[in-house]
Amino acid sequence: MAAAPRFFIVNARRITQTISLLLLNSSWGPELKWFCAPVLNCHSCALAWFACPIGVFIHYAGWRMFPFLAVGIVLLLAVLLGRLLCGWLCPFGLLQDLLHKIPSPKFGLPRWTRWIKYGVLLGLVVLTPYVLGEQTLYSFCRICPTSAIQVTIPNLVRAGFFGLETQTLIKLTILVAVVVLAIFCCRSFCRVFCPLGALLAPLNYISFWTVKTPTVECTVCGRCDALCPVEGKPSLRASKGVAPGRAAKCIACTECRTACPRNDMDKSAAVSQSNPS
Amino acid sequence: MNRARLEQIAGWTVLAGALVLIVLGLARTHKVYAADSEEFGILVFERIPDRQLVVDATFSGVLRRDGRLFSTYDRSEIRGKQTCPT
Repeated sequence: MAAAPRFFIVNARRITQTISLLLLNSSWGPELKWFCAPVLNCHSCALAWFACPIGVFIHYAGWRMFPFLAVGIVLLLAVLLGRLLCGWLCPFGLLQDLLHKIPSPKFGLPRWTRWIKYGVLLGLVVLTPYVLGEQTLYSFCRICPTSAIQVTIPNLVRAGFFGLETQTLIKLTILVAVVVLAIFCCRSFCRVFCPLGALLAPLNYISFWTVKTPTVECTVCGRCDALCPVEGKPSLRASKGVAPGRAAKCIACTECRTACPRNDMDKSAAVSQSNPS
Repeated sequence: MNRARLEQIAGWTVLAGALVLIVLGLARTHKVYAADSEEFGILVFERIPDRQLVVDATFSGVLRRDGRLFSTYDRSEIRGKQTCPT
């Protein structure tokens, strides 16, 4: 019973992520770079259709101005969708999901690492650009792995790998580290370093869209915990009747709902009640 | 008041705040000076909406000098033909 909906959900998520990747990087329509799509996708890429909110925040911090429009758009989408944006729309999330499929030993992350991303948001997106100016070498854009893939590497290839500076080498080293870490630990960048994840995470507690409790009779069997890609322990909340999506970590992949055996039993019960014969 | 109700109130409050920020952003304009306009000591500027400044920012075309914003982004060219300052 569980295989069919799980197969459907996993594939629906992959298809949505792929469509999102193509849409975000197919700048064929009207000028939409004033719109900050709250996913990690570098706006300096020639193909990018929307602005990256992190990049815009860094520019505005450097100019010592408040980005009303950018913050407004990000807050609006975040309060409507929560971290569904991370799980279903972020192209860098898709890359990490695919990297994690490479067969290798897998491991978890210490709990304290989740706080690092808040430091990245405050330090490298707000404080250093504000103090040192938007062109500072100590802003997140200078080490952003998405920017390395979408801008730095294409530019290096075009230039025939001439002019390889220390800053570029640091950026590429960080990209390699992030890629390697993603193979061994699912969504490690999202959970530890992503400043956009840090911004969206608290809004998961109040977003209108959330992953609902799969069953009212949770027995804490732990099947959902085993499948959760971000080690979010959804059973802890489900057993208390709280929606599993109400956690900073949750990327709304809905794996917990498809894994729940009680969920299927509830459905079978509903079917047998509606069809007693 | 239960948890779900509190979540709902907080959600609607943030939603309202976000809409206010968007309206403020859409209404706001900025004085942006042309980067090469300092000849003869005269500064040429134009007022652009916040959304245009976001577009300029994505091309790293705006710098802050002496409390003023200077742009090198060529808005007279059609989309796709503008030169990227980076």
